[in-house]
Amino acid sequence: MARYVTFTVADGLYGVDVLRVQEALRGHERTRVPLAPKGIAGLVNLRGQVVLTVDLRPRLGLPQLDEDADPMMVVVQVAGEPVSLLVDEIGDVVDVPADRVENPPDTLDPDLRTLIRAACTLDDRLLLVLDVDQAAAAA
Amino acid sequence: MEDIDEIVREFLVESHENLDQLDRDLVALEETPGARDLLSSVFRTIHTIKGTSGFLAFGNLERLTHVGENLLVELRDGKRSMDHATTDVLLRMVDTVRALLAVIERDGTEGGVDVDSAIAAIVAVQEGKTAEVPHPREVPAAEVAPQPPVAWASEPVAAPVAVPVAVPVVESPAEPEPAPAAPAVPEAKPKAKTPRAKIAKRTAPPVSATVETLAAAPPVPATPAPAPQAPAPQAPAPAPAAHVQEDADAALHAAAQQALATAAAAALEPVAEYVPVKELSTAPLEEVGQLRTAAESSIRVDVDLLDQLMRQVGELVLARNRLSRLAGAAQDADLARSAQQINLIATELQDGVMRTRMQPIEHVWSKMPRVVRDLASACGREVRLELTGGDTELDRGLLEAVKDPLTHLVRNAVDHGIESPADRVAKGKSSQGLLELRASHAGGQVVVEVRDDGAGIDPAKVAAKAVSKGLRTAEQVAAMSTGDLLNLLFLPGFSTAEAVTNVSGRGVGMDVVRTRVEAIGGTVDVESTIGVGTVWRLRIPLTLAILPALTVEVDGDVYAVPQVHVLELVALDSARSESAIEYVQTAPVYRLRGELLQLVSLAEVLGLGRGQALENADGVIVVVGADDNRFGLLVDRVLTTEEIVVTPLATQLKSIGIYSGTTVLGDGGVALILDIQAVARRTLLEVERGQSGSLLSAAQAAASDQVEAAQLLVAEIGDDRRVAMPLASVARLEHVRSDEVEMVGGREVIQYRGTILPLARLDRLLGARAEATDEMLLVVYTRGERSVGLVVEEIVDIVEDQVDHHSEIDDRGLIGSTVINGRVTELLDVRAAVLAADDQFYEDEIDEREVA
Repeated sequence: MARYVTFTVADGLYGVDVLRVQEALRGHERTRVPLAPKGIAGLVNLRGQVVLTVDLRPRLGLPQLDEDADPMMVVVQVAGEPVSLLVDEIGDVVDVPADRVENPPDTLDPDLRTLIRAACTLDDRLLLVLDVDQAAAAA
Repeated sequence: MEDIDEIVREFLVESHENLDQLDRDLVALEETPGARDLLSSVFRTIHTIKGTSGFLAFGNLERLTHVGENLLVELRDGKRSMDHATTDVLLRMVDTVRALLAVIERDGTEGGVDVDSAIAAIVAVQEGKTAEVPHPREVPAAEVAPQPPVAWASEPVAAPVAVPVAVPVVESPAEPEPAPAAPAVPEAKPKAKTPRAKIAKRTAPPVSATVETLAAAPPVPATPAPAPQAPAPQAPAPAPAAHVQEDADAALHAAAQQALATAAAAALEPVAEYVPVKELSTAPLEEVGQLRTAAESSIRVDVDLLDQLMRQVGELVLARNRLSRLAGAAQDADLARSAQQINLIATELQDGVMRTRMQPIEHVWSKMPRVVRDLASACGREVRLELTGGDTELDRGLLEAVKDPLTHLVRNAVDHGIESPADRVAKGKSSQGLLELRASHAGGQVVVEVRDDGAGIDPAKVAAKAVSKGLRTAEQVAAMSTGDLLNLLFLPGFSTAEAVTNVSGRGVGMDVVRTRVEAIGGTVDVESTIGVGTVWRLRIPLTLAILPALTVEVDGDVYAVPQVHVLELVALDSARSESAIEYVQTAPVYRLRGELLQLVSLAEVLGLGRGQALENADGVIVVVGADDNRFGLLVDRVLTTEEIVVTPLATQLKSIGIYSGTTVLGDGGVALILDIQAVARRTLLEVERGQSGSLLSAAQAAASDQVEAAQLLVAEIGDDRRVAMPLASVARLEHVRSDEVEMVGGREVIQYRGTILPLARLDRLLGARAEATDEMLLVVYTRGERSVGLVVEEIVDIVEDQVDHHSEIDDRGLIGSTVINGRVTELLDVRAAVLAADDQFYEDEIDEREVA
């Protein structure tokens, strides 16, 4: 049994290991970081702590987020530091039986293979499990 | 206490701590022989003990550690690997050092410990022999009463037990009893993890057994200690045996309570509480009581905990700011009052937490008089040391960090700065040299000066040394100013120490001083006048966590510029043309009080376009200094100066290399802190530093293939006449003295950078008359190997060539005229002017494009 926090990014359903998630919350005002890699969406003040936000879209091969978009944030722990992932909608926490967790399909874009750890067939749709460390690297 | 002074005591405490670490490191090192960090930790510890023992005149200790250090150097340099024999002799050295320390602790001398056999063993290993010298176990055991458990750390328990137990009970109250079994321990070492405590623990069971068999022994071991890990410091138990028997219960009770009460403090604060065994055991009880009071009034707190508190206070301050704003808007009197109160408390709390980390610099200075005295007598100098501003406080971490650089500078001043008494008298100075240490607060920084009235540093010698060491070429040093030459002292590899001696250290030069100081965000510079003296000046931030910064706005975002780098602010006003930005080729410059200041648009650096300041000539120039560069950072707006709490940069952003951290601003927003040095390095790469006219030549080098970008250098030539010449072909502008002009075959020349530079006076050439001055301004043209200098009176401006204003005139030496800034300006026929100076100038076959 694996438990994931799910969210959507541009109609796709994704999940991350629930144990890595610190919190999920509404988007904060972001301070942009000039010259940063494309996936870096800026810095937010999370109760006095400066937290890096990562836009998953470039990594997922999707167009970058609009400057004025108001996404949600999933804050995950990476190497002891919080990193916030920008997502469209936060979904449920789902339990996936082990036999539903499969390797990502071979047809997946090679660029995405490092990012997607597994694919889970839910009753109604497909859940792609993200590798949190890879996602937060944002390179 | 009579013959152990403060310095020795501190040395002992420090060394004991270090030795414990050393034991662990050495053992760990044997398991992972390649671990560099362990090796350097070991090396550092031994080096520190060696250095200090040298100054405290413990010759045996110094000899021993010096030999040990030599062995470690081989390890460090990879000439030897850490094998069993090496570890053995090193551990043995540690044991012997401990024995020595124990003797020093007991009677202030280091007699009676066999150092030579340990030295011989180390040397033997170093020379490749196996150490066959017998372990002098009996020597420390017999002579160093309090120490044997240490020497036998790895021996079977049975052997040592008889000694430690017999000794304390029967005759020597100084003998430490094992802590866990007996809380009433005379051992004063309060740190729970000291080896003695550990040993005691290990040997505990047999000890109690032995004690019980000794009928006369007090019932001490029977009672379990309330804090079994913490040896009870200053317990009154070390009375003679009979006494102990009578008072054992009371003593035990007292010790138990004390152990509980002081366990936490003891583990944290060995320095304050540490009392050498011997002293304690012989000290009258009242004195012990006194010591305890002093010890309990302070505790040692983990700096991490303070950092955490600091962060939380920072958050509190931010929350307070928001609350204050809300309260202001709500117009509720009660709420406003509460908010104000919280405001006050938060401010005081912040202040208090910050103060917990502050310590007076005296802490570091207190060692200097001894250091100076000993070194002075070793070097045959007479030195008077004056300390000013010792109560200046700075962050504890920073204090630790400047300790070594400062000591190095002081030693250096005594060793190299101040002359021998005979030399001084010969120069008419008093035979006693003066060494001053001054500390003061200035502009959010602590300035520490090490000032001597010695011989000063000869820049010429520095230059010669830099050239001979291959650090700079002769041409480079020839063009350098005195200040730049002195700065060469900070180059790695410049160390003036000719040989490895105890004083000079091992290649630790000024570069290390600079590296250390810069690592904590400080700077170091030197001023020196030959024959008068030298001043080394350290500028250190007050604290690492809080940084005074200027907040600026660019393209709607806020950035923080560390105040250290900000020199001044200049407002640009688009309405006033004379305060506008000018261009040398494509590089924007600004004339600040007659000097050209290179401008860097922050927006451009950050990849946000050219920036409002460049586009509209509207904004602010933040004049910043980084390393030896000064340049103007163009920003849209300057907001305010504030103290910001620095938070480290996320790993993913470090590689950008322009930011040094982030901070949360008063309004809750996040701002990036700019690394001005990195900005300078990134944008001013082309600039040859510190040369006259470098700005022009650099700008030109950057744009050498854009000769058609027509910019004109406008110069006054006398009689109020102005001529313009294409800037592209100008190599440099130079100031020279008129009396340097010499005549060669009817032509005026000057010697210039090792060559002969022919001159042409534009005023004479064009029929004007300039006034004779002491100094001449040259516009230097270079083509291949040849250079000529055109003499003008004054450089007026650099302007864009507006071609449509040209009018043809046919006069000698001119190719036309144009209107620049509302004035008619003649266009110089450069070719004719150059030929007037050197008719061979265009003879050589070179691409004509180089000279427009």
